[in-house]
Amino acid sequence: MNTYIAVVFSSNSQAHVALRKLWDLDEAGELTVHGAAIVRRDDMGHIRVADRDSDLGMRTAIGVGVGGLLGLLAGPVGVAAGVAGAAALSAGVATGVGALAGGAVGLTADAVKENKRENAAAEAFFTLKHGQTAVVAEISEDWTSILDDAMNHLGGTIYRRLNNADTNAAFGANYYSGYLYPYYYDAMDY
Amino acid sequence: MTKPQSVLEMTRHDAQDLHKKIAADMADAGHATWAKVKALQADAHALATKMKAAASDQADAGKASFKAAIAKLEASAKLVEDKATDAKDAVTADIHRANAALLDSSHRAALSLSAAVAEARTKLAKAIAPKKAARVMA
Repeated sequence: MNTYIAVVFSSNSQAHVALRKLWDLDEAGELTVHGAAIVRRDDMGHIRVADRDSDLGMRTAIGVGVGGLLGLLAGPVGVAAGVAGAAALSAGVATGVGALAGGAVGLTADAVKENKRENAAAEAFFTLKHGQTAVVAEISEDWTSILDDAMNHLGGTIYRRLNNADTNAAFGANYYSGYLYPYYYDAMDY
Repeated sequence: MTKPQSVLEMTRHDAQDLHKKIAADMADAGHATWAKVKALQADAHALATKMKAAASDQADAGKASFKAAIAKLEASAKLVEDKATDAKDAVTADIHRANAALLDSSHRAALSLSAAVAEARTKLAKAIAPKKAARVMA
């Protein structure tokens, strides 16, 4: 099953360990990572992507990809804000997703339609509080227990959203650009 | 490496490595040369050839995804070839444009390949799962 995930950590360093672990699981064939990145919400509510100095050519694409993914994970409330935040990228050292998206993913998705509640219960809405860091990724997994065990061991809280017809109907098949790092990268601290 | 890699997994590694190399070349814009771009183009061409060979083993959706990725790889490689004829006149903007096209196509290739790898792993998981369950029952 193809899944969008966010694994939230209160420690920045644990998120970096988790990113490495995610790609190790891929290397071992336990799951498949299509793309991943680390995002952090600072004390001002801004969300930034931990990138590398060498990402000049793909900074915008990754910012848009992460913005879309955060919107997906945050639920319908986050959709517009995710896109708007992603469009307002900063060209600073770290890739910015913008305060607007940061605000949206801090919200509970109260606007979910009643007929989506059942799905919502299984796919808890992603929230990223001030000072927290998350690994966001698109993965394929055959057993959820593998990721659960690995990330729980590191102290992470996992949020999942299935990449299926329902999600695509709600968000549009091309809402998320699919652009994250397609391999492990040594993310900068910021 | 913790387990033997399939051809598909190795081809995916090639796509990921190509993406890394292009990103590094773009970051080193001050020292980027047309010769480096030509070398990346050769890698892109080799990747397209490997993907063509692997495409026949894919299901319909996978085949379509591979076809689109291969077309993108070939288009980006062609862009470099066309420019190479007047390489002496190539300016930084041309090099950046060629690299951006190669980066985009290698990303598309990496995604198509990771989807194919995931599908192959799922097939394997389904084949193993009943045996695992049987072992637990026993």
